[in-house]
Amino acid sequence: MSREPILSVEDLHVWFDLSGGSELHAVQGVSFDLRPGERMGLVGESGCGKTTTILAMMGLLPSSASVAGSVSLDGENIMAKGEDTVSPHRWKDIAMVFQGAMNAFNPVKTIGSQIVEPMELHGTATGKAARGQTRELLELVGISGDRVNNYPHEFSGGMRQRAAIALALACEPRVLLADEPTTALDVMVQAQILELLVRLTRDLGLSMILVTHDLPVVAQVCDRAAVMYAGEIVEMGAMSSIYHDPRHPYTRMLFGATPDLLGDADVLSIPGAPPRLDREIVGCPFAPRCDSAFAPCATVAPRRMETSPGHEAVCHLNDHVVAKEPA
Amino acid sequence: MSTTAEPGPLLEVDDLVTRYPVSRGVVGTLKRQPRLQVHAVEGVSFSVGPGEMVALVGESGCGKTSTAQTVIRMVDNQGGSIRFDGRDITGMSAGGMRPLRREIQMIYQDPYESLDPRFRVRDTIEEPLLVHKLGGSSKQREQKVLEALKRAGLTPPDLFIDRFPHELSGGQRQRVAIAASLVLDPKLLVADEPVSMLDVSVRAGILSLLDGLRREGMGILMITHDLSTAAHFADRIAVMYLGRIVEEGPAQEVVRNPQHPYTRALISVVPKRDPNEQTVPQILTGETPNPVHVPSGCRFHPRCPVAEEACRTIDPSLQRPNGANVPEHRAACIVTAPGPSADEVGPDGRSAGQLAAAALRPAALELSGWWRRAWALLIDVVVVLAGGVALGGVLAFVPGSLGSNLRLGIGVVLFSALYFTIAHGSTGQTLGKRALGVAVRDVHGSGPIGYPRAFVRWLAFAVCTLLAVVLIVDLLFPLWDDRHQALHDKVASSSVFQV
Repeated sequence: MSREPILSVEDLHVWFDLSGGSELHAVQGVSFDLRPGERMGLVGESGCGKTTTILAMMGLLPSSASVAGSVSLDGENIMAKGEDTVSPHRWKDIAMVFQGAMNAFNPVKTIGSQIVEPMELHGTATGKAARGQTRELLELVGISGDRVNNYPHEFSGGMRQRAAIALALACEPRVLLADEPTTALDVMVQAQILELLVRLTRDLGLSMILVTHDLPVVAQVCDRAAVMYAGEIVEMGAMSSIYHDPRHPYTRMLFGATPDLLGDADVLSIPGAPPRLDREIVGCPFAPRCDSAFAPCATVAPRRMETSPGHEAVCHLNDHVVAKEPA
Repeated sequence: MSTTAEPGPLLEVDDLVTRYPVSRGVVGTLKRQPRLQVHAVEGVSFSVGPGEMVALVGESGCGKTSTAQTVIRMVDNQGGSIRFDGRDITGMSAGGMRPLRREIQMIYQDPYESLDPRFRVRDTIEEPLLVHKLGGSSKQREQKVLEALKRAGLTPPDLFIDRFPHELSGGQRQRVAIAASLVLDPKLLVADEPVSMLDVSVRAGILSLLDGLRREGMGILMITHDLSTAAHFADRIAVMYLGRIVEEGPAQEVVRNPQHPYTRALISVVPKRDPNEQTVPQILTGETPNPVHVPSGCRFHPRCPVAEEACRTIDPSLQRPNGANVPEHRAACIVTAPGPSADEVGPDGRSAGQLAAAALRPAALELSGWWRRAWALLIDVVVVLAGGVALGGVLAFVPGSLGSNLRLGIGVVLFSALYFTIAHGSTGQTLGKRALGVAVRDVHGSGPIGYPRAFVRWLAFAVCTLLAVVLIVDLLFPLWDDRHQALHDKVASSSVFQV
């Protein structure tokens, strides 16, 4: 994919003010590009900053957060003037399926009226046209259009998740951010939803960022993956290159901790816990848990290195590799 | 794999049935809506030996948690038996269960909710000892708490013993919950989704801990929706669907050589770690049906990709499929897993028990469509005539003026009205109604027999009332009698009617 990126995030930082006057550096310089039609996975443990990253891109962080860096849509920095520049694009260009969105529908309003709402708010369609579009949207995500006047409780969990996706698509966005869209679902329903997301990105030409803690889900759905740890992307690249040739020990150990159905390899947990983000991190944040840590890891922060075209990692192990084999 | 020189299974569950009543509400009760039940567990049998980990796998609503809760007697079962360590604990009282509770311990899904936030780790682990009045002095109890922490992998224990849950990570909390079970030295551990709330990076640690306990000889029943986890850590897997075990066997055999179409579909949708290993997921449409209205025949047939006509009527039992590599592998499907073991299973894939039950019922049951209705009608006519004549005979002894032929007629009509009320009406809850209803429904089979139920019931009720009124009136004021006219005159001229 050599086309210009539709969305490009550069050096994004997010700090949260804590009650004691200290700050929590939740996102520490995240940069990535998203090309049209691309599906990218954002993977990591809970607390690694993946949800904060995409909420920052939507301009939806609470007032206790301060944001730095830029998020460009078609080359225009939508973060430049905060809410003023973000809000025209929110939902119309970038839409989001929130974590637990299937349980966030208003129980006393019909599904249809809740999907019409963003259309009328953003002025993309009103009245009869909006209701017609809502039916089409429901059909698109695999729900009969006749159920437009049903209430959320009349839908099963999988159907509510489909409706949440239809809601995100209400204003025909070009970028879809999906935050853990299958986490609370059964494996069979998960497969249905993932198939739907792949079909939508393919048929509508949507770009998607899939946020999840589940590496196999990303492996099966996404073209590219970014692995986050302690607020930064520690490895990013094409999915197959990340799986077959991980250049960061965290990625390798994360794969090792995920049982594969027919695999024989032992499943090993990663010892320890992620570092606290309200303190300055010295050296590599993963060093205390890393099985390959050596002398510089504890004191010197590793640099971001491109180990092969399109594949980058932040690890001292690559210092030697890159030095030996000039690209 | 299970240890050698096995002293018999620790836990033996046979034909377990657990149902929950569905509330009808006041309106439903007044409208006499039938009482519905959630068929959570319908005839589940399995066993867990010492040093064995058995995984119950299935989607939410398949009854795996209900099975676990019934096994530890938190929920009462409606049928079947549970044997623990050779003793039948099915109907045991709460007092009788108490000493056994320390031998069966449970680990819950969410360590963020299962631990009391105001209890220090010490208090959480010590509490079971206090409840069971074990552990002696407080010094000895502390020793036991420290040991349990060590066994649960929280080392050094001194570092953790005085912490509160909020000072621990998710994995550490789950280890505290496990330590609180271990302090009682249980023989059986029931783990309900022990890692699904935890981060991927720490899951393997908790599962390895359970694996270590299994090696020490503990029996573990693990409830999980994650086939990959079950395949890696369990000795045996039982796949559940809508209250039934549809396939069971050694873990690797079940995931590498699945026989039931549901297991096959489930395995095909588990995402693989390798992005190049693109499998074709066999996605089943829809979701697990409501366990209130369980489909007839094989309960998987409405979603099954290979269902045949016979699957609508035949409820398959677990048997060894032809394609199995090991004798302990069993599956319940007549299409993909037909079995050769003729001693256990009949030619059409039904178990000996099902065949015996069928043999007791009239052969016409096996007929379909109009023949079946005709048979049902014949049964109705015979029952109504026989019962009606008998009732008419009884009515002949009631004093009154009606002729014997008329009484016979009334008997037949009254009996048939009662019969239809009971046989085709709602499922009665009194014993007599239930017995009669079951007996009659058994003759008709469970399928539709062509009577509009509500109409018949109301008609029968009206006829009963009318006839009863006629008989009572006749008892007081004899009708259709030679003396009828005279009597009528007499009544009409009496003072009562002259007001």
